[in-house]
Amino acid sequence: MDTVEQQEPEATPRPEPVSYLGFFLGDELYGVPLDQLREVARMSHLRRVPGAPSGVAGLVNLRGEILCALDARTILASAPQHTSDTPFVVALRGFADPIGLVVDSLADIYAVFPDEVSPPPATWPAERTVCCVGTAAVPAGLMGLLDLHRLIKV
Amino acid sequence: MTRFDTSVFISKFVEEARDRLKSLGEALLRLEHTPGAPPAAINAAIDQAMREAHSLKGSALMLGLTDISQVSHLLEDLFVAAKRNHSLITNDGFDVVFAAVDVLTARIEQLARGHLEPVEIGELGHKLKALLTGDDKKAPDPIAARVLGKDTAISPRRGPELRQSLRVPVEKLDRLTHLAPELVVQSLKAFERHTELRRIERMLSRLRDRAREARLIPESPAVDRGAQFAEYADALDVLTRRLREFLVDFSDDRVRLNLITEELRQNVIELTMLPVATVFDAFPRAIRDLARTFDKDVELTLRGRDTELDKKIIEQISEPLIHLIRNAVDHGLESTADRERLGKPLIGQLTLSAEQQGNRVLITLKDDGCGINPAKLRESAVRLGLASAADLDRWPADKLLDLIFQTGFSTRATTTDISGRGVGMDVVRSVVERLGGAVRVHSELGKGTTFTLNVPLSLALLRVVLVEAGEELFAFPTAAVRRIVHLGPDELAQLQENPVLTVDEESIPVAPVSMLLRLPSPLPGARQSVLLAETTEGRFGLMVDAVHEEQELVFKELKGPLRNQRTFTGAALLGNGDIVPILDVITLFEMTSRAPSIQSSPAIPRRVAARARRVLVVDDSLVAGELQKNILLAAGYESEIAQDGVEGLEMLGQKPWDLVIADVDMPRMDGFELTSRLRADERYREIPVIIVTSRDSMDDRRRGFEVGADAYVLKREFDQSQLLDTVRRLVGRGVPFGGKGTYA
Repeated sequence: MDTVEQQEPEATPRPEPVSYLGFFLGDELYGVPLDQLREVARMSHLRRVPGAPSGVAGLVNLRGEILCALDARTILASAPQHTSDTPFVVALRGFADPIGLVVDSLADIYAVFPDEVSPPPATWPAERTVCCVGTAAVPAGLMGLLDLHRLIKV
Repeated sequence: MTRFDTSVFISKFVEEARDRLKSLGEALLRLEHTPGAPPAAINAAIDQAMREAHSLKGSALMLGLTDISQVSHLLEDLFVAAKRNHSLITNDGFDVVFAAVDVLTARIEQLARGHLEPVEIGELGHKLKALLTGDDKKAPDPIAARVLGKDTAISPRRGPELRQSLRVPVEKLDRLTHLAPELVVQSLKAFERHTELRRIERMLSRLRDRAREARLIPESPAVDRGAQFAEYADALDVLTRRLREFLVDFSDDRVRLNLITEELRQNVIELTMLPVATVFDAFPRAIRDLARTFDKDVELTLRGRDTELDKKIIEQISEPLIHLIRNAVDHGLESTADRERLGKPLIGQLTLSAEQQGNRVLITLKDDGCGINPAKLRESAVRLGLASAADLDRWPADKLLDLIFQTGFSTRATTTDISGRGVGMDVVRSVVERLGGAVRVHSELGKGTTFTLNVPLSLALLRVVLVEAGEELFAFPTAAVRRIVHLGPDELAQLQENPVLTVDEESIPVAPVSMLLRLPSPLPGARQSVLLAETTEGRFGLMVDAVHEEQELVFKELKGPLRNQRTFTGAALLGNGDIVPILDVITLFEMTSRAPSIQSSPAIPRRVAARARRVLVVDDSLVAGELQKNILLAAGYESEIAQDGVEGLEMLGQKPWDLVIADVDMPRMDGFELTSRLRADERYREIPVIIVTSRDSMDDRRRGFEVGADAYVLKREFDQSQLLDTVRRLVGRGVPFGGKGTYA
């Protein structure tokens, strides 16, 4: 590859790809930018909080820290399918408060080049379109690229 | 030019200087208050002041803090001269000297925040010099001498960030140091237990393998099955014994580890505790200034200076206390002339005391002044339109007194510049409540007023009652709980008609937590308890399915999208890692007050026949028996007490029981005897037995299990949660959940 680049020095270098962790909600695939990810853990016990906003799944004990777990399915208006018996919590980083997303299962880590991002499909519900910067085709399917700052405001 | 980094020394100096200035202030107070004292006492006070000023000067010089060294130097010179001439420092002179101490104190605090640059001390220097030369007649307006107190005069350039530090008495650290080897021992023991457990596991698998092999050998006259079984039985015997020994050892370890953990936790908390003296000791000086400002004679008595409190509370309690003290001097205490006319002792008495009560600290400020006039309170309340005169006449005294905590409430038509009673009282209350505390006021007209601040010992830990509602646990701050009422079926039925409990002739609104939080309602016939709680707004009752033990939990705020919900103030982790939300007292009060009547809500179904689990407590100690019974009742079990084994057997015959808790040492028939009789009797064989005793020898434990007890709880390690855990393990929860109440 090095030799190819040396032969064509005037070609515009392709911008750096962004790495996403892909996860499933039912059979829908979404991605969280890797640099906003703190850790992923199997969710042992979710403590519901009566009267909490609908986008909040509850509280999770993540190694002694109390994390507010968001219900990604509700926020993204995903199809209400059978919820996983062993969900994961995706703990996020870069936010003022400890926060995480409850997801059904994990897919893989995908590198997405900016030029591979397409706009969200017109068929998506508005809630989901608002929370995504776009979509990218990856081996596991069409992945919604999440804008976490928008998502946690819901 | 390279200068050595002084920041490390600066923080040490700040600590030293704070102590020295405190001591200097104390010496000055003594000096000022003992005009007729024997010369020796006066000299001793001057010597103390001199020493402190001298040491301060020396340290400041070494660190190049020229402003501080200059002022200390002048003070030292002044005290040297004062020793020769006791009348050198008089009334106004004291003001100048105190002002100098104030300036130094303010400067030290600036230093602590990182302002290293020296500050101009010109005016103060002149005044001190004037005093020294006996030329203090023209010293103008001494109190205004706080030239250096203004932060604005300081250049914005900051020195290096100083490290935050906390001084810890050596003995506190020593206790921690001693715990470390104990933990090592426990860790070694855990290793030992692990080895033993693996040995047992290996023996078991060998036995299993032998049994498998034996099965493969076809039946023949050469094979002695009997001998084989005998061998297995022997092996199992050995295994059982070893496992039992293991359990005993392991249980001992657990108790020991529990003790160490508890001690460790306690010690770590104590590290952040400071004596209230940290705050209290500033008050004699403050009183002196206030007394001069308001022209009154005041004597302040401090009690319980050594009482320790969380550093964070210490830091925040000072302001409310100063406010209360200012009020007491300004409005509470009468002028000397008035006191003489009233036949009261001429010097007004203020007593500030601190006292630890369990996990709370009570701080009390008492004055022997004029008290708060209820007539004036009524007048102001009418003027402010808070209530009608007719209503107010019916208000009880304490409700009327509580008015002073209302925002904007004042008994004065115009407020004074410094304090009008009522100005800031709402702030006092809100600060104290934010700390998880409460303020109470008591006043007698003509005799005086007492304010009591009840604050938690430590902020990190919140004392809560765990309650169960809708099959989930919630925590409710103990500070707000006045009483717990267990409802019998009749009272429960009555509450469904009219959700109000009458306590002390007051009607208190009651609502079920499950209804307020929209949780599943309790099963029919379930026992209910009511937490009677008190807020600044009023009293209310919360109905819950069960009241569990009280616990101290590490409070954590709710964050993120949950920040704005008001039902919970926070959450905490339980020992088992579960999260329990902490209910907000005020919000629940509001919800309860406007909740629709219980009857109209489908949350509580009609009572149908079912019964809770019945536990027989057999204990000859009335206290121990009652304690266990109450714990069980609170958790939703039914419980009765038998005085000894004989009575226990009688009561067992009268109705069905689900569990027996027995003491060992009892007259007529002891707990071991009772247990073995139960095991021998067809009717009672299946009833689980818990032995609760102060005997903790290995033999007793062994005997307990040998006679057939299901659990063995030591009184020494007895706590509610442990007892309830054991009971739950054996018979399930107190309230029959999920339709499992098949005993009915």
